[in-house]
Amino acid sequence: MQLRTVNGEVAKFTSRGEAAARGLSDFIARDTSVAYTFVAPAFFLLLFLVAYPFVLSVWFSVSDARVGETGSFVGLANFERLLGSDIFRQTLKNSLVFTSIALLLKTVLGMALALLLFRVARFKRLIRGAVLLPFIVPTALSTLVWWWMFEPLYSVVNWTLKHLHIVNKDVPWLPDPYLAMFTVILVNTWRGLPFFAITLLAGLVAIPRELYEAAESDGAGPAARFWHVTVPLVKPVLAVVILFSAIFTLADFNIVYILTKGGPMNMTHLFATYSFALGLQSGQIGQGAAVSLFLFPILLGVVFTQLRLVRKSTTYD
Amino acid sequence: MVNRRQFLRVTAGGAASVVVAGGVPATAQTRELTFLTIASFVPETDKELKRQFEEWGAKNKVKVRLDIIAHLQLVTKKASEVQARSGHDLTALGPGLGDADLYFDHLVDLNDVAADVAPKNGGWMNPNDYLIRGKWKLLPWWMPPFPMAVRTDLLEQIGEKNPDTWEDWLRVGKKGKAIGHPFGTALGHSGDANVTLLSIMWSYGASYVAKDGKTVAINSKETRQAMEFVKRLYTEAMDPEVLAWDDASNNRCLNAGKCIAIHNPISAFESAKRDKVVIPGTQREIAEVIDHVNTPRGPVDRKTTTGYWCVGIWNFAKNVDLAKDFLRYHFQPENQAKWVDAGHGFNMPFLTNLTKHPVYKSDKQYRFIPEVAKVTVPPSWPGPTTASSQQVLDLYILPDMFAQYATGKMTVDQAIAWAEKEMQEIFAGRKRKF
Amino acid sequence: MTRRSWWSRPTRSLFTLYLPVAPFVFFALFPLYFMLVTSFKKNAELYNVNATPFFIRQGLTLGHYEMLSKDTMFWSWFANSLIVSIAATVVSVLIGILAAYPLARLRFPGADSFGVAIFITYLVPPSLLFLPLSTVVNRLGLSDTLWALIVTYPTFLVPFCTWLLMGYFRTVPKEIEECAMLDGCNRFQTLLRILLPVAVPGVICAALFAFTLSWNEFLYSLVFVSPAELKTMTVGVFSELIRGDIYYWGGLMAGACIGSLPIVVAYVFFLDYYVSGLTAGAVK
Repeated sequence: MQLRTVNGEVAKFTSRGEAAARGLSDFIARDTSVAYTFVAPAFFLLLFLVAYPFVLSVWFSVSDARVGETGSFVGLANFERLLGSDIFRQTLKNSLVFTSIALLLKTVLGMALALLLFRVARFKRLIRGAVLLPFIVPTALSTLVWWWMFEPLYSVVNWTLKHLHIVNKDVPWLPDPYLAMFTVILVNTWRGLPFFAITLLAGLVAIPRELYEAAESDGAGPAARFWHVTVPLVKPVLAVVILFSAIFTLADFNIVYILTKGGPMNMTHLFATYSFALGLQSGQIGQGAAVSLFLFPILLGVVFTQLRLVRKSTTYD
Repeated sequence: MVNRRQFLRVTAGGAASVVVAGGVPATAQTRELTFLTIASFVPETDKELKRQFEEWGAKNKVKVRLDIIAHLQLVTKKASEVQARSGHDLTALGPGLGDADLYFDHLVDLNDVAADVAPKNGGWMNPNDYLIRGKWKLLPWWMPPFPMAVRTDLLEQIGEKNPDTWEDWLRVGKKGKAIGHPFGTALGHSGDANVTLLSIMWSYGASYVAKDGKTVAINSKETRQAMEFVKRLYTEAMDPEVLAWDDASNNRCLNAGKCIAIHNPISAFESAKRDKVVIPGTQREIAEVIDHVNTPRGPVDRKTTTGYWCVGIWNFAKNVDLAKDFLRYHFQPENQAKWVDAGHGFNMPFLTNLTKHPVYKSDKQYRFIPEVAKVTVPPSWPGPTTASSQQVLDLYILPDMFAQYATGKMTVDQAIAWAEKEMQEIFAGRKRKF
Repeated sequence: MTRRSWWSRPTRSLFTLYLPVAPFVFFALFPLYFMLVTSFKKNAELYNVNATPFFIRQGLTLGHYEMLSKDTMFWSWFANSLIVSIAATVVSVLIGILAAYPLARLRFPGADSFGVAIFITYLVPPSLLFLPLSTVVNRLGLSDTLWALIVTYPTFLVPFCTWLLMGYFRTVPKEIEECAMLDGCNRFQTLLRILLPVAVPGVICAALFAFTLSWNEFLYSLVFVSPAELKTMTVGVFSELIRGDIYYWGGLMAGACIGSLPIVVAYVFFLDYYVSGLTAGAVK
């Protein structure tokens, strides 16, 4: 029986020595062609279905393209116009507030929940499953449920608050700009918390128990153990989770669209929803693209630095 | 080799799937027609449309397909079909005539169909309104007129009779709010907000664009008067929740027994009837005490608007003539009559004879609908509809302007200046042809 | 999980562990409980402002579920979602495995850039990408077929799967593979026969994730597929049950409940794999 290798050469049953002597370069050369072949499907998929549309999107943002018209190059005019627009500046503010607070909540609560889940022994599966549910249920539909929960007339939240005599009148969750932002952040946190918690939990599970035991025998209490053993070792996981979450949170569309459509008075518009209103509803694709891609350079920088940090700290392990 | 085989398998599979999916372009003139429309408020309307479509298809040996999506998603679908230059043949357009300007270069001229359809139906109601840059690029299909829906029992309770002007309604709302039943009209990002606020503006003689369709006319004494009125309406007669209302909220407010009156099509009433909703605390059906009266009048005028739902043919459609033929079929008087019937009068066509349809006499509730239709104009009035005038609506500039002053977030001058700037940007942006 | 003896006293753990966990569980579950309850409520009670929202006082009804089954094409949509999600998951996981292996094990020019490029695909939001993508889908002739979705979903599934599997593969000791290769196996056989069996938790984790994201997807499904019988579940429910300014709440909630079932079931069975898959994949 002849075994064929990647390059079609018949594998010779050589001695170990000969194989080693064949040379590093040979090995590497074969590896490279193998690598390229393996990576090819992913590469082509992303090339045709992501890179090409992405380049087109970038073109949109520097052109005056409308739906159906290719438009002509206008340089950074779209971006300039955005910076001068009040609504866009409000959107920028909203997006930063939304993302930072949501990320903070998810990190802190996620870490807390992960620590708790780590120690839960009974009903482990049930509790973990329950906690994971918000992430599993289709977002479009679960956001509708939340909307129904805050809907001015039928809000179950208001009903409860009134019956517990905490408030006298209906709290205007969605009409008030600040409460509306709170609501949007709340729903985003509800949906994103499972991802944080379970991923951080996985990170916690991976920490070798010996480190904790060593710290404890050195006299470290629970808090000290947390800061000096848990946090450093969980940092790489945390970094990646925050990175993913930041990207997805900034690009969030569904929650704002269903709950507030960007109102009241544009106080909850995020990039995605404003881009939608500008680009799709009004057909000004160029401007819509400019809104969507506004943060792209910054995000790119963030991704690069994060990945470099993660790469460094994992090789440490 | 194994992994090359793998690679080839993947790409071959991809190519095969293209063929399997029927991706081979149809070179022969296949007789097929597709129509994209929005889910109608009254489901029977969709069923009737489907029936007519299939009936026509059977008669003409054409394979037909009617696709329905939620109205909020129409905008996404339109854009992607135009971008890809492929999709449905016939498409619903709206809410608003602005689509014809936006997609002017992608729609088929319908001058001939419009002319064919008019005579038997008593002519179009306001033909000039529907022309975009002087052409029929779409056929106005239906609109839900906006009367004022009011709780007759509460009206009696506060001792009011036949309110007709906006001031009357403010007084009604004020008295109603005192007994826990405020007035309700949206001041948030919703179509209803645009409609009602425009009605109020026109009642005071204000408008946001001038007759030439290009000059922004929002900064005027009349606008200030309208702003003052709405501020009083908000603070004295409404609850703050209206700032977050979407199109369904006022329906809910009325049907839950809270609001004393709303400016809304008969949809709220219809669903109250259907769901047999009762007045809270009683067993009495709320539908019995809802009445619909004419849209209110202001010091200057009585005018209102609504969503203009239209239908058009994409010029990348494969069977333009067949599409036109179906439109002629659907717009025949008998078919229109059946279709209006199915909608219980909710969807009113823009054809004069149809405003005399018996459905509007079938229930006391509908008696004012034809009256409202007579004073309904496109939102860009007095100017023609353009993509810019439509964009002002899509970005909810007017509700924001009114809300910012009504809540005290800005002074009246600041709010108007803000709106003027935003609108000028929009109108300027469209004029610029690089 | 052994702990010091003084932790394992039941009452202490009740207070320090289960009590703090309770609010999280409540927070996570309450909206879903509400969804469930609403789907069984009669319309009269649903729209009655004075009724208690938490319970059903005026009798359960299966009316919403009936309406969903009979008056809409819900089960077709459900089947479509299932088909698309499973197919997209299989495709993405396969491509992910193939791509993750070289990125984890082999050194080759362009490895680093490709790894980063994968992340960058997430920086472009689907709400912008879909427009040019629809042109591509059209040119491929896939418009209005489920294939459009099966081909486009991997664009946002493959990057995460690749990254996850990459991390997972790295945790498997290299020696096992090297042994096999010295015995004459080529890379592909090594991957298939040696690495994958060990990496099953990672693969399951990636598959679950991919399935969840596919199942929840809304925008591409709305744009690329129009015919009623081919819609996926979320799009179908939205189109049929939101008409103008009327929301059929009971039906929407019923749809949401049934719509969540498959994934919930999948997670119940594979939860442990999910966590352990993330353990190695996310950490390393």
